[in-house]
Amino acid sequence: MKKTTFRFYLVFLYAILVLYIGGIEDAISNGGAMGYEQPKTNFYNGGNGKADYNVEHFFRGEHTNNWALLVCTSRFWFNYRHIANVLGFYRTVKKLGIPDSQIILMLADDMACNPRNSYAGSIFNNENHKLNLYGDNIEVDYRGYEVNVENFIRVLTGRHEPEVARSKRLLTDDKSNILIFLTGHGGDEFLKFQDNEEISSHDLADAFKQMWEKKRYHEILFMVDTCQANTLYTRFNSPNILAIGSSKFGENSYSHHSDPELGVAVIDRFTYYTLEFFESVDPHNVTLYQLFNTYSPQKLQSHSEYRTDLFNRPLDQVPVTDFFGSVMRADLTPSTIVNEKQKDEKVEKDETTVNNNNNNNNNDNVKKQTPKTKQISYRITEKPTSIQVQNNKDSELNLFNSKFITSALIFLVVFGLLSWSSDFVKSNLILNTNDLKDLKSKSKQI
Amino acid sequence: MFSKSKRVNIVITFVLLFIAGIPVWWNTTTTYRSNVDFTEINEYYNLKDNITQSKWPLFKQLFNQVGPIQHDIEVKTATEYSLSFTLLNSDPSDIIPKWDFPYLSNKYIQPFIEQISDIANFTVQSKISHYATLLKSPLYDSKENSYYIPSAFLSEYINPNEWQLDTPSTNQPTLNFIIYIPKTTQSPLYIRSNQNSNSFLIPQWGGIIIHNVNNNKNKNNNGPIDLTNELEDQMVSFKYQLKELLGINNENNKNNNKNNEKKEKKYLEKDIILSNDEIDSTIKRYTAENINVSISTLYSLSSLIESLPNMLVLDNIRDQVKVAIESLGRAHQCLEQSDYNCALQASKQSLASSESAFFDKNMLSQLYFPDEHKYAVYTPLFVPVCFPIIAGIFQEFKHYRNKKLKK
Repeated sequence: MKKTTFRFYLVFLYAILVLYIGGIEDAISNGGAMGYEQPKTNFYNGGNGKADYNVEHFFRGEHTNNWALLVCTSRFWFNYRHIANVLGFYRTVKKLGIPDSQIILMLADDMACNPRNSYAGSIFNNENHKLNLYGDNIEVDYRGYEVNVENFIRVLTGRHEPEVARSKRLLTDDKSNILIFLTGHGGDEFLKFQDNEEISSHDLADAFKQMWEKKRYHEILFMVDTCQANTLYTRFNSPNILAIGSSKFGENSYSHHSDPELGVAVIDRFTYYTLEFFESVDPHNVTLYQLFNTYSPQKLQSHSEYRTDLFNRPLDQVPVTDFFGSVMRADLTPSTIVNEKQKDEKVEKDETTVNNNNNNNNNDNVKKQTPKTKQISYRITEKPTSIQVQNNKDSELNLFNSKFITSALIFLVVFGLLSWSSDFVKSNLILNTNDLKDLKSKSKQI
Repeated sequence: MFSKSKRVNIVITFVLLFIAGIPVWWNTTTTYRSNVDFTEINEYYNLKDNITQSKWPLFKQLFNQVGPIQHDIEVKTATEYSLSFTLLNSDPSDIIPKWDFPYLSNKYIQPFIEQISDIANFTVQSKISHYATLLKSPLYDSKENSYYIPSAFLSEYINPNEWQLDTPSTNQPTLNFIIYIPKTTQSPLYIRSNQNSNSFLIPQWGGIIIHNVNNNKNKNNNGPIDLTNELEDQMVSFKYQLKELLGINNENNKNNNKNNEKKEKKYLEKDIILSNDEIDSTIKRYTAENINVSISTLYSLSSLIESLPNMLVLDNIRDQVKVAIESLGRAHQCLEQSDYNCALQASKQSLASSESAFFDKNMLSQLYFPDEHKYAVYTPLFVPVCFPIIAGIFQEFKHYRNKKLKK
């Protein structure tokens, strides 16, 4: 008996070893094939970079429009500070000129209406309660359970269902600068979404790769305020991406202070000092280099690192309004009015215009009758060109049919085998009864 | 005898079940990927230098004719555009303006659209909006008794993003055209510059015109003021801005730079009607750009599908890619016959198919699931199943040997 049990254990261990050795070999070969090099990270250096000239005027980038994607991935009351972080960025970004139509705001929970919130309808990121971030003028594009990994990747890649509204889409092009700010709970190369899902640095790298392939951005500033945030951008390999995180591998990102009346922390350190920077300095006259150098380990209690090897321009020549603001460019149109040189003709034309107005008044009487019946809005539409392509439903049905047929065939094969084996067993049982009869006859003989 | 055969049958049944189960597991866990044919696109990209050997040699000739395409002012190329005209009033307590936009549109915008209707489909809409404010108060000039904004600091005074211009829920590129009427306390309002102009263009967004209402009319009328006649000149400015935004005016820019003063006098007459050369060059430019974007989109899709093995690729992607490539072939045939309208239509269809293929909702790569995770997930499933099978086989082998020893 002992020998048999020992042999069973040997067989068991052998099977496990076979599978694991195969897996380990594949893992090693894949790892070797990846051949990933460590990114160049610039650690904090105390610098005194003061600019006397107007930074925005000299070093503005080649982009023509700015977008902001602000994501809070945490639910539950004790994560109050994560929503306050995002709303603080939202307020700053709107103040610097990015319109609501170009801000995609994702809030995973509604703290303003939480029953534990003693200040109903208000969200503060400071214990002095000077500023209510949740005012009347907030447009939340994704709220609650709409904030998940799938929707986040759909926003980045632009692969929405046709009925998704325009305000929920990132309608960027090759002249768009995008600010992406993520905050929540994270770990080594991943960020949690609502304690259900997680997005990894590989997923983000794939999404940015698709964006670059389709020219969906000119430059991206990727900011993360979470634990081990710097590991989230290590897998990026698409160009024109500038990434910064609030803490490095193995470190936590800490909150700044808590509110004794609310009972929870109201802001994180990284976000607090970012917003403080924008409040204390003229944002139109500072560079990203100055912003990044304000993140000292003493302030954050963690090490903020940024990655510039994928970015073309040096940071001391990048205004912060290239990502956080939206500066309009204006080209004057040549006028249809006569130049100032011919002032005399102006007087004559004024008289002629008066006469024309008098003449046109008669015409207006005729015209005014018709517009009363019409609406003010006036549309001219043409039918789009029809595309003869199969619908998605047909292809999905085909896919379903093919899978269904294969699985049905396999099921029939298995069922046949089972029925055959059961018949064979029955025949054996019948024979067993004969054996019993033989035994009885033998006993009688004895 | 019988007991031996029974055990053997049980073991064989387990083995057969395991073997039959593997295809079921494989079919349910692998992602479906249809075979999309990208050979023509890849060949075209690889044979870029050799013009004669590639399948579509005339495309490169067309690209050379059109020249480098730069989107500095021009809006992104699309098959549909939405034109939004807004009469924007700053203070309704002073002035309540109104306009007969269908009349103005039929007279000025509609002929322009009809001339370039081959390029894209245009949707025109208009509205009147109130309570528009400037970021800063304009500067006062006591000599001329007027207000002005320096042209270098226009962006600090006027930010159209602050005006809530609600556009309908479309995904088309939208061009905004605004007539801004300042307050009576801030009028007349001018843009101070060398060009003596009161209107400006925002690249890839639209145009804004500052319109000062005549004060004489205000005293006479208390009700809404009809500005239809006053705004006819402004519609010509809008037309000019629309030409700039669509990139139609590129060739004439050189002439305009040389003879600015002369052209301005004859501005109204010449710019109402587009010349045939302008229309032809625009058709060529849009055809070239549609073809270029289609080919780059298909090439991007090809590299994307190859680089992401976990991405789901349905059959409609294959069909749309096929339609796009066939449309490119048809465009090339039209170019052989020098029929540019036909080439433009085919290129529009190719662009639409390639874009819809790239932005299909199901083209969403499966979340990161490396091989290490696969082994970690499937080992606890397969090892317990394999163990009784291997043990059963071992037992039968053991029994077989014992019988031989007995004999």
